[in-house]
Amino acid sequence: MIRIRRVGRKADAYIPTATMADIVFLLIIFFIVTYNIEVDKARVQLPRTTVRTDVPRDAAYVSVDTEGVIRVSGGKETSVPVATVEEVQTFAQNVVAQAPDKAFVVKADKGTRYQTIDRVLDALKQARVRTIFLLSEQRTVSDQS
Amino acid sequence: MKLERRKVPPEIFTGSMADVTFLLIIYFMVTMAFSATKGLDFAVPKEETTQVQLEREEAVEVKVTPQGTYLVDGRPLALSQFADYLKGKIVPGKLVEGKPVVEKPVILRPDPQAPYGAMMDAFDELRQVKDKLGLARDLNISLPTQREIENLWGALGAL
Repeated sequence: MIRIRRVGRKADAYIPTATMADIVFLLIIFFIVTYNIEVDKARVQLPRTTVRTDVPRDAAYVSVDTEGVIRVSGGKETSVPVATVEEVQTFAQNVVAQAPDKAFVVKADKGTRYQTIDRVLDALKQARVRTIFLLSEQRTVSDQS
Repeated sequence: MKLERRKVPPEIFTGSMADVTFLLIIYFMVTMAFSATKGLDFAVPKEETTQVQLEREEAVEVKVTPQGTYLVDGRPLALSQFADYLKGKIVPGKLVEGKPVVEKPVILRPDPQAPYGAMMDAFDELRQVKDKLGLARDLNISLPTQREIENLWGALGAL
């Protein structure tokens, strides 16, 4: 009887981890690209709309929360509360003086009385703001029914 | 005596790099804010256009009541009826690039006590009218503030 002996190199048990680093790097790149700093932390229930346009990344923010507290941010720093609508106008005037084409985003709760929004919009118009965005969430089919 | 040197296979340790990158991923995931970055835009009208808006009877007026209902030119209408109503405002016989046009400006006037959400619903609906009726261009929607309306009435009173 012929005895067959296994000849050759014994393969070492080994998990290839080099490709994992590639995948992880791709994920990191994805997060860096899609990362956006939330300048305004006010928790509001945004109104839902079908028509939506992208807000410029460096846009200035004016937010009105459920309690009617108004916060402003130039787009880079975290928003700070202001006491009166007149302060919003002063703030907007300063921003427009530095960047005349700066877009402003109004982020307000859908249950807010329009009176407050009207005064905010008026302040922005008085400050000669050219483009205003009213922040909204996507309206879905279930919202319409 | 000849000493035998042990040969070390050349290798770059990548195991720890994966740890570092995983930490970075976790950081980005935790600090990532899924915030809304889209909204309804509107260009603020320039000073010159105020003269055109003086002709009040020429415009379609959409009022939002404190209860969140709508009055279009004084008639109570549901959001879904806006497009049908504005169909009647299409300029007869006028086509731009083969499509009809609505030339009358639409003035959106929410009541000070109306909820902001109701005003946004009306604004959104008016922005969709172009596609719903197959119009050549967007409706000319204006959202005057209370101060602008008061100034306008002041100007009209002075005439």
